[in-house]
Amino acid sequence: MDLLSSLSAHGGQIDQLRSDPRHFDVTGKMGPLDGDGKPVTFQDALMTAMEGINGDQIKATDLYQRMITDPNSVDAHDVTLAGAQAQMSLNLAKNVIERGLQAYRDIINMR
Amino acid sequence: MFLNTNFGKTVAILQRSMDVASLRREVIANNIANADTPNFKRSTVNFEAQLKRALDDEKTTVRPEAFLTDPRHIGFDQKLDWQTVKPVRQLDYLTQSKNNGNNVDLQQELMEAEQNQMAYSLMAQAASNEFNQLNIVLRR
Amino acid sequence: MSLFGGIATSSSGLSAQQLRLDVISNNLANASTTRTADGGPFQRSRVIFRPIVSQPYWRSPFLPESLDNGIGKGVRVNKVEKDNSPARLVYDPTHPDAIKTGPKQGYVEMPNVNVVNEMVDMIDASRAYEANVTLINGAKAMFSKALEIGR
Repeated sequence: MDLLSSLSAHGGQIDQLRSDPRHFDVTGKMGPLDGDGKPVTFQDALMTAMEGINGDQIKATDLYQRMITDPNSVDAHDVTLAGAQAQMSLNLAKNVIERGLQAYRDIINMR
Repeated sequence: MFLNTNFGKTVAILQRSMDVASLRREVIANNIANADTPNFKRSTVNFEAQLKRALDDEKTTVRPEAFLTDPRHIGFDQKLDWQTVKPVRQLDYLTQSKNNGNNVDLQQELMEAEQNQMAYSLMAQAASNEFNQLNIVLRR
Repeated sequence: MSLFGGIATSSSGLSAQQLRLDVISNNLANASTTRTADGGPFQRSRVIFRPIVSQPYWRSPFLPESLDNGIGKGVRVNKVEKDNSPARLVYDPTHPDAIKTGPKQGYVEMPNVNVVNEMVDMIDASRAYEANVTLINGAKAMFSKALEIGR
């Protein structure tokens, strides 16, 4: 689909180019490219990501607790890897949200 | 601080365990220093088993109801609060003694000192990890 | 798989080899003792080792994997027993402990300690001790590297 062709322009609007199932379409939902299947909104995607981060944190703190109460059931690298993973997923989420908000502000302030 | 959140509770448990690790280090140093004293019995520190019991009590389990007719009866749902668990120094008089009544095995004490050191490093790393995570969100 | 498993196992090896060295040095110190408190010459002792196995310990040869015993937990000393090999006989009628009567008159019973064997055992014990110490250092190094993840 060629964005610059005249076929994709309708009045003041231009069709959106979706090349990946994870791109949102004009109704604000994410789904398979051909249009069927269950679409997912941005809110659902965000909440799922937050649950994933929370799960990582809980897994890390659970390993810390097991390391204290039952040292012979955990390995040293498991504990540190879980901690590093929790930290990284939080970092990633914070940066993604920050960039998303910045993009939103940029679009709103476009003149 | 924030004891009802995952972060606050984990940091509190880590802090208490690090306190116990320092106490254990002193007890082991005392044992090693007295490795040749006649009739000396080694001491140990008990903390982790009690803490594990207290933390397991928090998970809701179905317990049978106790039939209490007197205020002095004890119910079945006595929960141990993990914040009240304290380390206990115990004299170990059950292991086998040498001929002069001393039951300190130097190898075992050194191994326990090593394990204590390793556990302390891991706990310090875990605590710093927790605080760094807060920094990620708050720093800006 | 545990935090301290390797260190506890190697430490049991260290204790066992140290005890073995003590027994060997006792044997060597008494290599010429011809009379002990309960009569007779000194008899050398030796240490019997047994492995510390993971409990429960199943003995069937056809074991499903879920019931596998897992890794053992080191070594323990089963007992320190006296070696009952016959004593050496040395002819010395002027010795106060010489046998006074019978077919072996004039012979002294010396301990059954062979110094060369004891020295070889001592070298073996100290090499095993060094090997265990190397393992403990390796386990500590691995732990330090694990701490560097995500630092």
